[in-house]
Amino acid sequence: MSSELDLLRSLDDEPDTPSTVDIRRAIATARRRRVRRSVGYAGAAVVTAVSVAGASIATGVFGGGPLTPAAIAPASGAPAASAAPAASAAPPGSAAPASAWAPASCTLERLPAPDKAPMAIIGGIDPTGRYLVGRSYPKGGGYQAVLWHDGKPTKVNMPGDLEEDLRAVNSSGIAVGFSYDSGGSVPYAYSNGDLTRLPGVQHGDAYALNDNGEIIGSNADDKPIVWKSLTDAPAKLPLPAGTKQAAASDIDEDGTIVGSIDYRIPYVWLPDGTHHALPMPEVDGKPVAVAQAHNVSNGWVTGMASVTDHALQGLTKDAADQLRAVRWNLRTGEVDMSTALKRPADDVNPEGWQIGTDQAGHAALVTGKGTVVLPELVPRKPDGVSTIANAISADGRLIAGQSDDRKDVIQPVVWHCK
Amino acid sequence: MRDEAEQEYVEYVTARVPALRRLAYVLTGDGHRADDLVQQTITTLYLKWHRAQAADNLDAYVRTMLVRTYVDEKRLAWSRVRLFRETPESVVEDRGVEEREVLRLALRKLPRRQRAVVVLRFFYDLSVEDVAATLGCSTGTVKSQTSRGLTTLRSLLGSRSLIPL
Repeated sequence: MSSELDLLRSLDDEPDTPSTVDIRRAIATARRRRVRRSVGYAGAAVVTAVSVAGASIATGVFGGGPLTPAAIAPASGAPAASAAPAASAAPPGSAAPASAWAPASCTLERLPAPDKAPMAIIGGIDPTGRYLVGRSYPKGGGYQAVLWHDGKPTKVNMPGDLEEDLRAVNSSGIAVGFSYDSGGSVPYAYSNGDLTRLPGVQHGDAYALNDNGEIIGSNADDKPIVWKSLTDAPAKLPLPAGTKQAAASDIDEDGTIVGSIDYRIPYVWLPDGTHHALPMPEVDGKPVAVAQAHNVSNGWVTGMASVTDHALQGLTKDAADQLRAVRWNLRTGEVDMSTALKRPADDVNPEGWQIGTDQAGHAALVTGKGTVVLPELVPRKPDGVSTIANAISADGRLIAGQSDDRKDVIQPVVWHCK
Repeated sequence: MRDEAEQEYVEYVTARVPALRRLAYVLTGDGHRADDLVQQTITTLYLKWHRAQAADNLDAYVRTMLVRTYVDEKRLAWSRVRLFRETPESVVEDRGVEEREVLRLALRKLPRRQRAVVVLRFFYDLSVEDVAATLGCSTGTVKSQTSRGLTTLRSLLGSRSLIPL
């Protein structure tokens, strides 16, 4: 064992980045938290009443919102993006004229976790909003992959008992994710009750899929790959010469894939086989140093930008403050940066609506008509992390995510928007 | 918190931050994540300072807090910032630094809980029982996770001939 000991001890160094640990800030944060808690304990009944009236916690059953075929249509209408990815004729938003509907308010519903697990997180939603995926943290420890169908959780048992998660699900209820074996993470798909190991790689990961069953992920070398189906061997995505690192992070209904090159160049792989960098957003007339594409829906791409590359070098004191929310329109080539969002968006729908954290630190939905704050399980001082929206359905009527309960434990929630 | 207790808290934390950053860094493999983990830990410590001071071993108490925060994935701020989920390999200068980076990357390939077990067992020399207490799991789990973690590390590092394991 002594060799392992020596090996690990060689890591006994502090981070090579300057410390951002701030004791005064810890004290200030702790004091605020303590004040909130004492208020909660002192008048629990009163607080509950306020929650129902003020934060509009839904009492209805899951899926109460209408999900008409028309409402779902934007997702399946996506192939338009492949027809003319560069044409400026019809920006995705034009399918929804200025007078089109957008939610004015959203109500919160807490979802159950399997076996009454104390904590769970929802990370993915299908376009219809009927399927959700994530994982729970069972009482005995470890992780349990979970699929919710119409609000009811099902445990998805994956080989290995180390770490697992389901990351994405499509309208047929096919979900993809990973589980660790002793050699690393292994990509899996779950379909109709059957779990299949994705073919062609010994290790890797699966990040997203579309309704055609095309799945994107990474192989053992951390290079981006695409599976055309659950049974096809994966294909490596082509990369520009000189690429050291690349990641694919999401796939559109028409097969358009978005990601980044070398952590700093936003990139798109189109269904026709071509691929290119996305335009760098500009701040004060100058292109930013770093940008990445994270999500795509109906030709809308959302991601992050940072004016400097300090964040990549680990040099900034408060790098997170410098991460901006960027949105590209693949049809028009336009780029905008949301001033409503404090951080990069967590997801985008076919209308280009974004979910994320607003400037005040609330979880929020940003549509063309304004910002809708998403209510939380327990009213708190907004901090950007106690309530998080992770995924939005195609029609924007259902949003899934997490919200801390009274004991600061993460609970799985959905928001019904209308 | 009374002024006196707060002063003790500040003194303790000031002295322990370097050690906490080292632990957080070996667990997360990333300076920013490490600092967020430490920040979160000392914030909670402030709230629990009275109870913490009564602990037999304050350092172990705080270490347990940090490791559990890490393993439980209590929504650290960094978990939202994908940029830092994908931090590139640092520029390496000399061989010693490079070896550490290779090892750091290998550690990052271990699942979270397994990584915590390996770090606590071999980085901190904790006994199986102490690791089990820290993580709130059985000694059997610690043993199996240790064995798997080392096997994985060997397979990841073996081809690099980094160290004859």
